[in-house]
Amino acid sequence: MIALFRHKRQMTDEEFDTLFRQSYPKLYRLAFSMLNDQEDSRDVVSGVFADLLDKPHLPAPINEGYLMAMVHNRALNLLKHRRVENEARADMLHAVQSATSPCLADDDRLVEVLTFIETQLTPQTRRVLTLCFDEKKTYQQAASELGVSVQAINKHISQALRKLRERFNPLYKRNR
Amino acid sequence: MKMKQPEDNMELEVMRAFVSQKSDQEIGMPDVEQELSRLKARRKDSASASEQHTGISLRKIAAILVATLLLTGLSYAAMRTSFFTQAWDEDKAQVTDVTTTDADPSESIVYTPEIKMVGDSVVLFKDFRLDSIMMQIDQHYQVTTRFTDESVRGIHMLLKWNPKQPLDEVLNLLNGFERLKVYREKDELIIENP
Repeated sequence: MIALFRHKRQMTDEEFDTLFRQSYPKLYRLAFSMLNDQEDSRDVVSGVFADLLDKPHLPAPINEGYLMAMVHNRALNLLKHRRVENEARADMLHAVQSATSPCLADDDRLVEVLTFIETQLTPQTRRVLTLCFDEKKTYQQAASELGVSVQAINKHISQALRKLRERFNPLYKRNR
Repeated sequence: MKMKQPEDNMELEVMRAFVSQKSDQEIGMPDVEQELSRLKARRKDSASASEQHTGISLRKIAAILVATLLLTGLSYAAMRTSFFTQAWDEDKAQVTDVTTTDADPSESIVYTPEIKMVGDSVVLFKDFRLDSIMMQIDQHYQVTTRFTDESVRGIHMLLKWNPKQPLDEVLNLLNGFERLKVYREKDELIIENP
């Protein structure tokens, strides 16, 4: 984790370049995971860095976590905008909008999540998750592809998320 | 009672987990160096476009000032029997002449106001009336000037104004003149004779 400039201190060109080179791949992956579009992902990440150049005096130290939150919020805004253009992605937007916390998981945790999906969920649930969360298909499209109802897709996703939350979100289990 | 379930990033984490196992090629990862160069080039372009825009604005200001001058400035200056004049010496203001109340009309100073551009962004008002200058400042900063003492309206000034400066800095500049007290109340600039 890098923290490159402090309160009210303007970032040097060298510091900016270092931050860009170190953070870009991870930020692009985050944007792509939400948008599933190369051009949109490039635009979102470039927009975040352009903001840093335009507003060099930021109130907090800039680190990778801060940039991840900025990319996350920009991608959400873009999805909201796209929702107007393409109602078919509304289901995906609904799923992403529930992710409101700026605290984003690190790489190790993502590997654990993936391992859990591969080892602890049924093949059909895994397929549903892949279609909806990886290939960004709507519930309707996933239902058609698998020859099941939209309700069945919803049930698979709800169960999978419940199991994931029970495993990875201790607060979830405690509050049930 | 069942508590509300905490919101989390689970859906997003699942999406990120799927993407994390893909190669750079599969997700079309751009070349980082190229992206960095592209960002810097784009920023350079937008900076030069912004400078061009400022140039156009300044030309507009100059045109408005010349029109104002033709209508009011010269004739009013010639008719004045009492006046102030102040000079601007680089960074600080100094009063050079003061009131003359019973002046002989033959000794009246005839002002020849003019406006010049100094460099790319600084406007030089030479022998301009304060109220004419304030008209331009009002328009640029979207404020309204009120004179509590009408006698200061007609002060002729030599003033350098950079429209890129924040309004507060312009007010500090004007307050450098001994015969002016300028302050702001919301969207109104108030000018007094201290």
